[in-house]
Amino acid sequence: MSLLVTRKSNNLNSLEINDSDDYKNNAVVTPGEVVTEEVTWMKGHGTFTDSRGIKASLAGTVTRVNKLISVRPLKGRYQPEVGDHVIGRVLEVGLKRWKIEIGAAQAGTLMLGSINLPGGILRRKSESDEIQMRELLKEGDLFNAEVQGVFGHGTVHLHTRSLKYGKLRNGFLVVVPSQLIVRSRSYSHILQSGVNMLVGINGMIWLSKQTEEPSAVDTPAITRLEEETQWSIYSDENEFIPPITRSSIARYACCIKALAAFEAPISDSTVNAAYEASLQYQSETLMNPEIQNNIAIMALKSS
Amino acid sequence: MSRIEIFNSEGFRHDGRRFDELRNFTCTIGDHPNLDGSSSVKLGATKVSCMVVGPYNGPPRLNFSIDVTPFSTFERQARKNEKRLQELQSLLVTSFTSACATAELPGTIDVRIQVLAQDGGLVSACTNAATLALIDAGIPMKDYICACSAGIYDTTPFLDLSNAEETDLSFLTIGALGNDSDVLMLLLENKIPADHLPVVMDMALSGTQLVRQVMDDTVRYYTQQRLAKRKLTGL
Amino acid sequence: MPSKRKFEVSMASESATALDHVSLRSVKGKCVKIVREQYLRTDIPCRSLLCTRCNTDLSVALPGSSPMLATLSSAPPSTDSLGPHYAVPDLSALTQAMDCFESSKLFYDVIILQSVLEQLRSVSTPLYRRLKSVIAANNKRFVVFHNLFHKPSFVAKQPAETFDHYGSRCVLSAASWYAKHIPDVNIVVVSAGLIETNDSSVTVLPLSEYIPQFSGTASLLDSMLRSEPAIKKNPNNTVYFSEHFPTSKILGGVKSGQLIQGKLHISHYNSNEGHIYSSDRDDTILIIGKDNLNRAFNDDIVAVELLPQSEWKTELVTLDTVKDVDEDDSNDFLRTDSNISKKPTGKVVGIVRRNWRQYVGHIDIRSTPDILNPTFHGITNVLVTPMDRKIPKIRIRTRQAGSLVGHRILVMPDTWDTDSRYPDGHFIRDLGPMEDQDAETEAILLENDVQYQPFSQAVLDCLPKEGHEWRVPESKSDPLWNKREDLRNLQICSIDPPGCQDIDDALHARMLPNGNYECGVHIADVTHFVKPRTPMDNEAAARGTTVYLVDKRIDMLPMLLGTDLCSLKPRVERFAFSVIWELTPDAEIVSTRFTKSVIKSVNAFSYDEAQKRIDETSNSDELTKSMRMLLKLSKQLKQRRIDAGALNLASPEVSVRLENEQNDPTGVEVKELKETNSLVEEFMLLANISVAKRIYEAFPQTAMLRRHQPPPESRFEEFSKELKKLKGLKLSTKSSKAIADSLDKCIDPKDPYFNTLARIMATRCMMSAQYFASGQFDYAEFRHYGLASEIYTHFTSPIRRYADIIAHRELAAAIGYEPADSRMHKLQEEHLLSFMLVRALRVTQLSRKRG
Repeated sequence: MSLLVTRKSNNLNSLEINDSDDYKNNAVVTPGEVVTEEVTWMKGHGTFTDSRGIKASLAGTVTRVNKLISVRPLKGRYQPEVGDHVIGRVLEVGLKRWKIEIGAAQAGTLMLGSINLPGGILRRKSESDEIQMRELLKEGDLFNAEVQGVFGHGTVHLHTRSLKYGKLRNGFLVVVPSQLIVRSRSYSHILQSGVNMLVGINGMIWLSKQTEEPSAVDTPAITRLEEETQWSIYSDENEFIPPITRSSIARYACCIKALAAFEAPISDSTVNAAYEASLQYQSETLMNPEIQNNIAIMALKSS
Repeated sequence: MSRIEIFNSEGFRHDGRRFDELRNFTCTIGDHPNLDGSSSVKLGATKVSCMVVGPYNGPPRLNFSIDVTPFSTFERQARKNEKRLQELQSLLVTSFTSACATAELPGTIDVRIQVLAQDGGLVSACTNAATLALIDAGIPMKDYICACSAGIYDTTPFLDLSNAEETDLSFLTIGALGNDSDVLMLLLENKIPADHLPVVMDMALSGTQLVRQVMDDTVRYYTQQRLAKRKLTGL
Repeated sequence: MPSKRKFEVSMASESATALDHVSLRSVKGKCVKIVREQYLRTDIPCRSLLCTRCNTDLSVALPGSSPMLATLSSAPPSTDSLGPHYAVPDLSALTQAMDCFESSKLFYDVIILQSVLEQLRSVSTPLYRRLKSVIAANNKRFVVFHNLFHKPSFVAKQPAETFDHYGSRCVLSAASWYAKHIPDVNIVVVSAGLIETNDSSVTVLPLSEYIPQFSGTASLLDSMLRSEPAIKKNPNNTVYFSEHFPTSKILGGVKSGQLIQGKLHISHYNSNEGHIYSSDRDDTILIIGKDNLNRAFNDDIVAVELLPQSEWKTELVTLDTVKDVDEDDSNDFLRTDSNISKKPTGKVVGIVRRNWRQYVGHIDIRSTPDILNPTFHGITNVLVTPMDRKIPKIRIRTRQAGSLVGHRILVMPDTWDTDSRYPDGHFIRDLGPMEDQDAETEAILLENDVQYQPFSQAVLDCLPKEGHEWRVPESKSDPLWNKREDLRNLQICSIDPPGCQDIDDALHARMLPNGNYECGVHIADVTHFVKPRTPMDNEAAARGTTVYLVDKRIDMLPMLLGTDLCSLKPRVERFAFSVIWELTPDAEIVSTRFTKSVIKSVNAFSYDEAQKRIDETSNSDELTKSMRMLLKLSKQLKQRRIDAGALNLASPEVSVRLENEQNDPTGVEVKELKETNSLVEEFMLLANISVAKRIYEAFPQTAMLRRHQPPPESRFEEFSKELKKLKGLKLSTKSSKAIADSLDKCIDPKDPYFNTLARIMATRCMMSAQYFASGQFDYAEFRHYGLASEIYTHFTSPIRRYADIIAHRELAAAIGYEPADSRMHKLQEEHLLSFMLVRALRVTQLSRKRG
């Protein structure tokens, strides 16, 4: 019996992706499917046990680590891990902490003590700092950070204790499903036309005007870190961005959205490839679903 | 004499189906890539789309909202039957809460169902759409909740009633959890004689198995597609 | 709860492709969206014995039942020019020559297409029903082919394509498919319209050429004459009537309130006058004169425009001065002086729905005297005067006018154009010479819409196979004995009019040790044989009641049941439905119980015999004693009922004296009422009331009850005025008791018949009783006024009344004998409607065997 499965007409054959009925007998499991009947395995994420063995509770692929068997979903909310570089948005300012939306099931927490305060690392946190918290980061502000720890019930703590992290400006935020982000060693990429891309593992991508790298000559001694950590890093002022850079940023944003619409992986290489592919189209047509589809396919082919 | 002939002497229903045939049932998932989960379901001429947001920061809970578009109904009109929709919403909340182990959810999940066209089987279509969208969103579930309606005409059980049949016959909608035909949800809004009830339930349960097969194929297909795309770039 | 039985369900799309219709339509001025899906299949069998490819096993498609569906024979009818063929009629053929399809002379092996069937249904429900019964009768091999569900022969409707054109395309497409599918037989499309095909495998033949190929069909041809353009009597194009408004204008007008829509009621006394009732105005609107009636028939739904107030008239009050105004349009006399308030008058500007049916009439010789010439044989126009005086004369064309003069004939109106004085119709059937008993009987039955045809085979197939040999099973372990009580040892007897064959009821009574009486009413268990929704049940529902004519009885159920298997004949074991009471010596009910039972009646008495047996004091056997008990109790019951205000309005029972079975009636005599009459009556009333209470308790929404509203006092005004004027008597109408009492005083010592006359007149003033479902009214409104009972139903005559069958089923469900029928309520609603129709029939019942 062949049942109808409606497929999106996205020309997958040209990508040589297996479009046959093979999908039925692959490593994919769906909710309710028995993953294993052997009792020697331990159930991990995405599984549960019932009388017939360990069953999947998600649709995804089975991974086995030692005795732990788990199902990795191909879609779902961002699941934070220690060391992830993420981009977040301030939800609310609380007592000695900020509540941060990072696209996970629970909001992240940024403690006042986990940030670089203006005036230097060695400074003690004072009551005045608590009062001034809103001047540093207020509701709606975007910044990048690192996951410091993940606790029970999904509570996440972040920190920005590095000059690499801080408030984001001069740019544009694109949000994509977090599973599409390709983990790589560096999260900051310099793209063409003076565009900088910061990739958060949580699916938030920051496209901005490339800032001048502080030259080696000007690099301050480590002892002068405190002076460098000036109020300016918490500035809200955007610099002047030339129109050509603005349009490049917009084009990159469209390319990322095109890849996301196709559910294609997003890394610097696919984004660059998509950018190349997009150049044949007028920028105002880039949100057209058909063109998005073409861009994504061309990008995947060339990367 | 009613407007249409529900079941003629040659064994056809008014739309050309036999008594045990399901209407065209097709579904898609992931229609909205920016949402956590989405799906659309077509059951004959009934069309439903479903969107899932979450789990997001909040108490572990499932919220359902059903939005019947004015153009989907027989008569174009503003909201009507508010009460019935609320009942339906709470029915879905109860059913999915038990299938999703809601207490262990990391946050709140919003399920929003939009009814785009109606031709009977609304409850089944909504349930199936919600199942697919929740799976798409990566919410853990014990199994698919697959729903199907069945009614009775004389002594003949009918599978999957259209709107015209629903107005003339008594029918029930069953939501079953997966392959084992565990009845998770049973909605009976009019009367069915007790001695016919098992037959009607069996018919509806058989329908849910067919529905499950279609939904499972759909989920596998899309999951596989995603997997293939990721393998392509060595993800 | 589910038995885990697996159905092999499938998705329709596996064997079919779906087709969506989404159309926007305007219903009552609102835009509505109609969504319909249709599946086009490839697995529809052709149902011909010549075909080996199609799967004709219907058990797959129809679970649980094994319907006998016709198949096309392998040796279909053959004519010289056509060879062996299957006929495929189109819509025009069916609408114009349904009689031919019903005839036994031709049309065997006919393929009825679903598209044609649906079109016929939308065109004419009566014709649709007739065709369905031909198909169901299964003896002429009519098969239904579902071409609208069949992918190879389905054609989609083009936008802006006419109804007829689309219909003929469907027919041709299906016929072509059949021709290719079964190459051994010719496929002949029979049509009365214009159809052309370029498919050489299909023959298209006009009806007028097809019919004469079979012998004995000459008279059938007449019924199709109307398709030819009628020769108008008026060559100079005189226009007699104004045009009707277009439909859109009527709908708009009715909605905006400028026009009034209603059912036209033509006056009993004057066919040129009618009225409609407007619920908005809560008033009737008179329509006077042919011009204003504007071609509307009695019972048509018409749209009426009000005339200016200056033309409003008073209602025609004094009737005796109206002369025959049949041909006279000037009937305005008597209306000039008007101190009485004037009624609005109106003019028909459009007909929303025609309610034309077939009418019985006779040829008006005055219209065409030359047809009497015996040498005249051509086609001619004649006028037919319908029996129903509310219907205008109908012009038909016939070639057998000469032989039809002086006969009762059946005609059907087809059109009525503005340039024609009379509606044009066509001849259907000759019933026989006027004043011939058979012809007149049939005419009465036809005019009153009584189903009098013999029962069809499908109905007869529902009867028990054993026929008259059917017996109550001897072994009590037989499933038929299930939940049945054995009452065969009781002294049960029945009391009926002499010669009664369909014995519905029997009675018993006995003394209980505690001094109370046990009384039982045993009613024939008809529902044991008539199961819901079988052809027999449907037929009985359609007939509604048994109709008694002077020399004829039109049974509701086949003879085998009515006069044998159900009938509680003496000394035979029969199934019954019993109501058993415990009554105190004062006839107070102590307890009531209901049970299905098996009884053996000891004797069947006529009223006279029973009376004699009771009166004969020397009789002291068990049976006579129990009859005396019943009589005593019945008198007490009656007294209590009369005290409660029950009316004794019963019009005197009349029986028609026949010299012998065949002869004409020779006289009419009034039946004498014996005490035993009222004995039976009282217990039947008691049974009905008890059953009504019980089924209302079990089904508060759907119990089928009967009520009788108190008459509005205005109804009595005229009668009491006359009574006062003529006899100086006073009629009190305050309550039913008051009426009953004052009627008792309406005695004229000089005229013994006067009291009866007064009662008849009072009956005329009453409302008529009605069936209803208990959910329709509040309990307080259930009251049966005439019987002075809070609640009432019909239970005691299931052999001759369908309402009782419903009550039996409800009671059986209420006592847990059998499960309630899921569609009981729905069916009941439908049948309630048909009972209303049957009511009209009472007029024609010249004699009923009992009240």
